[in-house]
This record gives sequence, structure tokens and C-alpha cells, in this order.
Amino acid sequence: MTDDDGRIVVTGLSKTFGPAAAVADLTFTVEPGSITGFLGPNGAGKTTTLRMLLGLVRPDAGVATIAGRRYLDLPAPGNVVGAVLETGAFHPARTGRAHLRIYCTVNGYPHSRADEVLDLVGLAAAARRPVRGYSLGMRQRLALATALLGDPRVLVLDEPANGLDPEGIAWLRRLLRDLAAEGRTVLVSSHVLSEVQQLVDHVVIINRGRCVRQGPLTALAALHGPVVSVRTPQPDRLHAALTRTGVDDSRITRSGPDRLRVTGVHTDDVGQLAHAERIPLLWLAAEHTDLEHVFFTLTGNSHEAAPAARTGA
Amino acid sequence: MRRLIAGEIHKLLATRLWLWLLLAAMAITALYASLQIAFSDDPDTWTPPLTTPDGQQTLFAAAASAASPLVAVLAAIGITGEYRHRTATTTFLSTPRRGRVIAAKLVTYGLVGIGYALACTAVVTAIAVPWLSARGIELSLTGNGLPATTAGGIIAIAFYAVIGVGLGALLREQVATVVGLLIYLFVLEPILTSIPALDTWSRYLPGPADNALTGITLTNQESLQPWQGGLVLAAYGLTIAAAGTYLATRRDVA
Repeated sequence: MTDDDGRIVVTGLSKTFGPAAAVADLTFTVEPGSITGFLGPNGAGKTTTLRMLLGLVRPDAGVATIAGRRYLDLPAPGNVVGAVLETGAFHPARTGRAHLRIYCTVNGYPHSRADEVLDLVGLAAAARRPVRGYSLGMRQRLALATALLGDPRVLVLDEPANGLDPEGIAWLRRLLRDLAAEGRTVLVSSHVLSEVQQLVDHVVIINRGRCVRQGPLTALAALHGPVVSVRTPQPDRLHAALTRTGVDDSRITRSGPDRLRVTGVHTDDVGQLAHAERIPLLWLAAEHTDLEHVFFTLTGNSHEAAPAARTGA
Repeated sequence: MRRLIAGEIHKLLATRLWLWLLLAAMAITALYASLQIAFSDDPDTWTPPLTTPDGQQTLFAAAASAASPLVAVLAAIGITGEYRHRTATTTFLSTPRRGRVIAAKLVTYGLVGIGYALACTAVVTAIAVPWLSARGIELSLTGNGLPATTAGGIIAIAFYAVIGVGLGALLREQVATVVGLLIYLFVLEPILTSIPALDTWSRYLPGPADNALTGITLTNQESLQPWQGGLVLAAYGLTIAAAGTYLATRRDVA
């Protein structure tokens, strides 16, 4: 498995449904060996983009390639790409094992491969039960098992955390980490950044069918800058000292009687300043960067819209 | 292509629908054949006497008459189920050349149709041979055009399977496809064929073409030659299948 043969390259992809452009001149690249989050609010065009990438929807313009070829031109796509697009996509009367064995037959894998992937996703106990009795989380696992059948070096997952409980999400995170560490390309879509924040290394953020930002997750955090929380019995003196060193007044907020919240500075700066000014500190901490806020700023969505429907976009 | 066909057979056998429809086809065949024999002496009957080759061919064609619509329904359910249960996504991810998927289904359901035809012909044989013998009619399974009727039935049922797959690929909606098929076969076509003034063109409908191909003689209806019936059925099957394949390969799977 060389490093660059699992690259996903999307160039100028466009698709219009009726009067509305679902995807407009979208361009981005996904590198192997890492997990990339494909993010955007509901209706941003994520699912349409993934379906064009996988040859299910015909683009109006542009091209998407995986390992240098269009999906339709891959000789044995199941061996290169594994995809989870819909969690309900099973015949309800078939067992999980029968479902997997059908795709073993079609792709020419031995039937034992079905049991291997069932083990891998922790579904072995339910393998002989009809899918109609599966929970949403179990369907997600079965969909993932289907994607893993061909041991693909590229994984494309549309909202894979949907329906998983916190334990399931932790399990998914470990599994995808391991797969990425083996040099595979992992592309994971979500409409909730916080859901994949612990999982992804890179992000591609789209809104209204256009790419608004792509790059490492850490760069996204830097957009917002660091945030420091500090408790002191002399908040007014600290506030004044900070403004004297050039921190704009608007970046300092009084978050309690003895508490300040300062953006754009590091804990080191505040600690040394307080020491120099002989201001006692009771507590000093870096806040977790509010990436969700950055995400909403980029996609133009208000906080209120955040926890909305969890269906695909 | 072999793997795709094996996959389709696997899908079919993963649930029991094929078995229930096969049992239904065999039961209907048994009922139809029994009624024909029981009432063959009724002076008002439309079927020729069982002592004649025409009568015996009509009796054996009960197999195709009973099995054809059920095979068409099974084939239609087989392809529309992919859209209904959204497995079309996974199927087309495995095989992005969608025309190959449709071709595999055409072959698979054609083969299934042949199996149905043989099973239903066995039912007619099991009923007709002892019953006619008890009436003093000696039945030669290799004579009186009966092999042609059986062969015609096999061909007819295979084309009904092709029509079912093609219509399903065209419409995608399972309920619409199956209900449409049933309404056509059991309501529309009987009405059209019952009007003598329309006879010159209604004989080119699939049902009368099927009758012609399997050698059914009905005293109240004119029919085509068997080979003409076969050509007409082939034309329907291939046209619908070609249109369905064309659309299935071009439409977005959303």
C-alpha cells in the first residue's frame, strides 16, 4: 500500500437538481493515512458529493477520482473503496450474514470473509438474525462491515456516527484510527463537528455546495485563537494590566465576580503578567477551543440550528 | 458475469418468496388442468376435445398460463426490491456498470422461469396421464405436439421474466410495478381480448401471443402461429428490457 494511491481528488464538481445547485464547482483533496471530516450543515451537498464520487449520481460538470481513476473506471471497486451511504439499505428478511455473503459472492470473496468482518464490527452474535430486528446502531455496524468486505484502502462513510451510542462512537473512533494508521484514506461526513472533532485530522467544510475551508483541524482551531480562563481576587487590576499589554478590551469578558475570560492569549502570557504585576491568581486554564463556533461562523448557521435533525444532507 | 448471476441466485434464495410463488403456480396449474379435464365434455366449453392434439396441447399449456404471471411478478419484485430496500446503492457500488446487474437479473429470472415451467409441466403430466388413461384416452407425451407446447411454455415464461425485470427497471416502484402488471394481465388484457372487433390487433398482445406460442386453441378466439407468438413475446420482452436498462444506467441513484 503506497501512500498516494488512495488519494481522493474532487475537481470542479457540480450538480443541479431542478432550480437549485446542490454542489457548485467543488474542489478538494483527501490524503491517505489520515481521517478527513467532510462537514457541512444539512443540505450543504455532502451526500450528493459522495454519491458523485461513487458513481451513483452523474455530475453535471467536474470529475472525482479515487486512486487516480473515476469510480466507474475502477476494475474491481470493492477492493479499492468501501462505502457506507445509507444505514437502512438492507433487505429486512435477510440475515446480516446472508447480506454479507451475497456481496462476497458478487465480488468473488470467500464466504468466510463475511464472518471475519462480522467479528471485526462486533456483530457476530446477531449474524443469523434477520436485519429487520437490528437497532440503528447494529445497522451502522453492518453497513460498515459491508464496506470493509474487500479490505479497501479507501473508506467513504456518510454520517457513520448516526445511531451509535457514546460507546459505539468510541469504538468507531478506535476502528477508524487503526484503519488510517495502516495508511488507508478515511473520509467521514457529518453535519455535527463536535461528533467527529475527536476523530478527524483534517476537515473539508462545505456550505451550499461550495468548499468554505479545508485543512488540518488544528488550523481551524487557530482561526479562533486560544482562550484563557482566569480567577483572581483582583479582576479589575488584571483587566487593566492586560489592556496595557495590548489586549483589546473586546477580547476580555467578566465571566464571574472573580473571573475573566480572555481570547487570543496563552496561559503563559497571563501567568507571567500576573506575576510581574503581583496579582494573585486562584486558577488559570486554557479553555477548549470552541470549534463548533468556528464551524457555525464558516457555514453561516446560528447556534440554535445546531442540534437539528440527524438525517443525512 | 457468473459471479453476478450467482449473487442474484443467492439473493433470491435468501428469502422464501420464490418457494411460495412456485407452490402457488403449481397449485393453480393443478386446478386449471383438473377443471379442463373434468368439464371437457361440456358442450359449451371453449377448449377442444381432449381426444384431439389441439385439446391436449391446450391442457398442457395450463402450466405456462399459470406460471407466466407469477414469474413476471417474482422478477419484478426481485428488481424493484433493490430500490425499495435501498440495496440498489450497495449493489451498484459493487458493480458500477449497472447494465451488467440488469443483465444478470434477466438471466437469473429467465432461468428461474424455466424451472417454474418444468415444475408446472410435471404437475399437468401427473394429473393428466392417469386421469385421461382412466377415461380411455391414450396420451403420448412425445406426440400430438406436446413437446412443442412444453418448449413454447418454457420460452414464454422466460420472456415473462424478462418483461418483469424490464418493467421493474423502468418503474422502480415495487407496488406500482406489481399492481400494474396484475391489472394489465388480469383486467386490461381479458377485456381487450374479449371484444371480437378488436381481434385483428389484440392477438398481438402478450397473453394471446403466449397462447399462440404454447399451442392453446380456444374456439372463441383466433390466434397467431406459434412462431409468430414467440416473436411477438420476444419483441415485448426485449423492448421493455432495453428501455429499463437504458434508464437504470443513466438515472441517479439517490
